[in-house]
Amino acid sequence: MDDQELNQLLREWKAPNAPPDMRPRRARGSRLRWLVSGTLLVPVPVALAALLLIALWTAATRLGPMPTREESAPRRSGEIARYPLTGALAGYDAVLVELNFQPGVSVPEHRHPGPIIGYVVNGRMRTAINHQPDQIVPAGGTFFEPHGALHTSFSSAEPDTPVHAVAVLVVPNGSPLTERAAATREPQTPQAPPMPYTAIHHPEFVAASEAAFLQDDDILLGVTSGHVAKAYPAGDLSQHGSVFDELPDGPISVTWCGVCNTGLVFRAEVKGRTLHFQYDRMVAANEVQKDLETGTSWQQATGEAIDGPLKGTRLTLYPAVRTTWAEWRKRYPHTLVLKPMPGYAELMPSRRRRIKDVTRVGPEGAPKGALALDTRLPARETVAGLEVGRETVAYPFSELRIARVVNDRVGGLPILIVHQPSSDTTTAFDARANGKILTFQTATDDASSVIDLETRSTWNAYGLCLEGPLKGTQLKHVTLVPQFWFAWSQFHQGTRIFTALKEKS
Amino acid sequence: MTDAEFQTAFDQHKDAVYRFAWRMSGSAAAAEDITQNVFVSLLRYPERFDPARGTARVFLLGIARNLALKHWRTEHRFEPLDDEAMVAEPVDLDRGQVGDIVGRAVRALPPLQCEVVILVEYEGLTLAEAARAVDADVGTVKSRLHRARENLRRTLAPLRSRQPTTT
Repeated sequence: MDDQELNQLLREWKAPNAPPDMRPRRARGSRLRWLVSGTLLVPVPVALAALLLIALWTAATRLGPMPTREESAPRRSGEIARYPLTGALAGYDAVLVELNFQPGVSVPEHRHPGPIIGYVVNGRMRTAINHQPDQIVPAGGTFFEPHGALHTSFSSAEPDTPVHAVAVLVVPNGSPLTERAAATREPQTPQAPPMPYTAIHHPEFVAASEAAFLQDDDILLGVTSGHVAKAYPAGDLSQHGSVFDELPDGPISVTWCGVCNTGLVFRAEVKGRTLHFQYDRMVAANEVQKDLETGTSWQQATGEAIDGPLKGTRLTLYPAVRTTWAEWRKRYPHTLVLKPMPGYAELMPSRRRRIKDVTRVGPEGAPKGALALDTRLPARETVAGLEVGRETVAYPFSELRIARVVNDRVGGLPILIVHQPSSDTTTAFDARANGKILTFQTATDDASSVIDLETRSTWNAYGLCLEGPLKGTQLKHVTLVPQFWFAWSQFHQGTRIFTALKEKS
Repeated sequence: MTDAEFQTAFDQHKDAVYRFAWRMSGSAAAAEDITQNVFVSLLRYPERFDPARGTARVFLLGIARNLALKHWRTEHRFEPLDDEAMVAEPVDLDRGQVGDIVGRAVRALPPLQCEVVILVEYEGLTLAEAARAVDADVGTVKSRLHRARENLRRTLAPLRSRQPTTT
């Protein structure tokens, strides 16, 4: 699109002038000014009466019951006291702070300019440093952060109860208490121009050792077929919408919608016909892609054809896992990685920041265009959606981080879900082996291995039995749909929501 | 500032201020509030306007810009106000006429890009005037405008092929 075409389009957007009856608010301005510089002339009895009334009202207010803590507005977080230290710690302040977090509110990543030790007075606090797994600190518990630690998670662990804590910090004299993490992260580089938002139909790949454009905690979609393992970084996918690829078992379309953070892989064929997809438009804050072969429009979050010759058909999900580069590379050292096209790698840092930020629980609302919102969860809470038969379940990442292993039954099928909190990698399986329904629990804290209670066999997080009577057995994969809650709930109305509390009881 | 001078300023610039606020906020009510507050501010602090530093319109649009960003912050409390998060999301091309779609695309821009597009492309300010209004240097404004236009080119590209059927 050249400048002239763009200008022509821009001219289409007309704005109205101010309403013809609009008058300046002179009166309000001059009245306010009067409060500062005006004068007042009243008869003495009137002034005395007014003063008397004010005095009576003040006395009545003071004698009345004081509002209790529960009745007052939620307390804010902040500094309570600060004292300069002496002796060996001269040059530092000890600072007492109060922390109050309402449910659903989390603090952006940050650091403190000194160590911090805290005590939870009420509620349960969720906290983590340096992207380590979340810790839950109950009332009466304490937490500690060494100097310079990156505070990556800090919020109430309960969906409906605030958390109240106090903490002491030791910081340089007069120093602020927090530094936004962004200021201490990688140096900011000048932003590259955006690249065309077009699908990749002839992808190129590099070996893991050459994927210098990836960081350990970058999110990607990984697929395997035969002896081939391939990684498609979300920071790159979100600049294209769709990548067509050929695997040994057929063509696939690897997709990512940056608005609802939905990454899905589909078989790129319908009724024996190979399809190539291209971004077309947004519907319900989710991408719709058109296939070049038939002109059918496909809703990315569901794989459903919403108009065109194939309307009503649905693409088949291809098993994929959403994980981090470190986790995927550890599992598949010989993986291939989608190579960013020229000009796109430069934009990956800003994309990766957005994707990582939003994979944490955020309090923002749904984006424009989203359909009627189900308010049971925050709009941008990431959930792993599961659909079996007619039943759908949303597993919020925040709950999975607590449960780590879930034994569920969905659409009549026994389901095992394993969540590794360090990478937010979630995998799901049919929980049957050798004709038996198995029940699992974590074998290690990080849920990298699980154990079944029926045969006491040990399994890895990817459904392969490593030790015990069932050694060598691979559980059948079930495909999850990780995406923002607003996207899952609008396409799966009335979905059940998994809670870790229920799992424990 | 005399009443007559104030009234003249109001009559001459209220439309430009209102249009700017309407485009930034997407709301007639917010635009009216912002416009009123711009002129209340002029009435209270007329000494802040220095004709040597630019025209009254640029000065008033500068106030409107600050108020519009304040409004934006209340609606997007958790989004950073920077021009770095600059890759605008695609817009829904199914709803509305071309003008509405273009409006949504402009408003979907990061606010610091959005404001320069409106000031330069719609209100006809020069880069130097826009720089004064948004309190940035000309180079910054130029680069924000460039990035905004690149963003718009990308988000509006599908519209180009649809234009004949949607107009």
